[in-house]
Amino acid sequence: MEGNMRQFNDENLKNMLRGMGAKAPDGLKSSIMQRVMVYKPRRSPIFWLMPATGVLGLALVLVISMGVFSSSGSNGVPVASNDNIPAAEILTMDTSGGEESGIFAARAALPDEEDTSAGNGMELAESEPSTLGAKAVYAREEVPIGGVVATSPSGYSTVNLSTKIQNSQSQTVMLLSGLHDNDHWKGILTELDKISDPFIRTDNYGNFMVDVGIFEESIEIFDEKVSSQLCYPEDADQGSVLFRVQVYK
Amino acid sequence: MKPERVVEIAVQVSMGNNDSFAEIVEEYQDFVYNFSLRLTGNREWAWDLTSDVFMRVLAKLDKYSPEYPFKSWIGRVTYTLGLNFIRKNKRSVQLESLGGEINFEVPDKSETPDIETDRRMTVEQVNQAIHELKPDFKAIINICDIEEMSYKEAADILKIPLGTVRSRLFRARAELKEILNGTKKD
Repeated sequence: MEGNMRQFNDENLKNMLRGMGAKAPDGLKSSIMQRVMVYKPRRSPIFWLMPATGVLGLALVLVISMGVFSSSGSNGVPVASNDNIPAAEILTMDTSGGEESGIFAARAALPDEEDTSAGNGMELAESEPSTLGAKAVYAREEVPIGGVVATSPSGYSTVNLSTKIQNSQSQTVMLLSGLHDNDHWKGILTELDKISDPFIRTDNYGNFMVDVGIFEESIEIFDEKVSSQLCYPEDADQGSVLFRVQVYK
Repeated sequence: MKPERVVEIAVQVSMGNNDSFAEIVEEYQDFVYNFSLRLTGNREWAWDLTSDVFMRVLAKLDKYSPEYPFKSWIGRVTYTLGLNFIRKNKRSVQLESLGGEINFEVPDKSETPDIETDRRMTVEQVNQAIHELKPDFKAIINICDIEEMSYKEAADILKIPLGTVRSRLFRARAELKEILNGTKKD
């Protein structure tokens, strides 16, 4: 910054940041409370239908629905059996170094999230591949890492996501990418070591399909669009998101 | 605010006593507004976003689980709505000086007016530098360095592992220093 003669280091920057929090302006609380006081919770239509249809009817609908969606995706593509998918394994990928460095690191989170050894953190994101450890993957920025990948809502290529593989929560995720061949995808997914070959399938168009579970919180930020389908390529006007993700529930 | 108290308020709200929600607004308005201001960089938008956050909290209050700190929960709502807000408005986001409403430590009585002026200018520069960061860097700086919340709370708000909190904070601070020291490469 021009004219700034002061040089910042960790210490004086932290001191400066401490206590820089803004106070809410006068009138904000009363403005909010005006909205709060006229707020009435919206009832789902099902709430009003419940007395008429009865609990039994609702249960019947749910059972039928579960049967339908457990046998096929919403696009009619059969969902492969996932009996062999290991339960409760968690993949966590952090591609936040990608935009600046042209590379990104992925790591498979250990069950203990407190772990700080190699495999986590910035050491991975910007260090040599040899220090990555077995769980991490280096790739070019434009290469999307497999599993469940989505564009960040801010439009940056930063993506943080968690994928939980559980038999009971499996869903079909279709990874659409015309930019990389099968071996590339398979290599990434295999490297991540949690999605094994039998569950990587291609459809007639060469798209990859992987059965995984969605860790719900990881897609919470997309709450406006998460329903039966998640589809975000058109929003990616920054970064290099070259793929599309569809989540079939 | 203790989670149990939040649950009590949720019960009251469910019975139509929306007035009881004022206690939550009073307690967390500074936190939400400051976070919103950091994310949007604009007072008007921060006002709107703060208002939207509390309305979302009100609507979802019955979903709150007392096993989690309420501040993290409301922080998560702020971050989520803030990112959506930025996405919708990113082409028109304008940098606005925040210098007029930030707080900073009371200057040493021995400091001269010149030193105080210099401090104000520096704070303004830091504010502008934060605004140049990308949203997830702004968020981590705000949570960990400005609000001085724990890594665990940051992980809960941003829904990222602790290791990622550390790495992201490291990179955010590094970039902030580069901007401030004029060494950032475009």
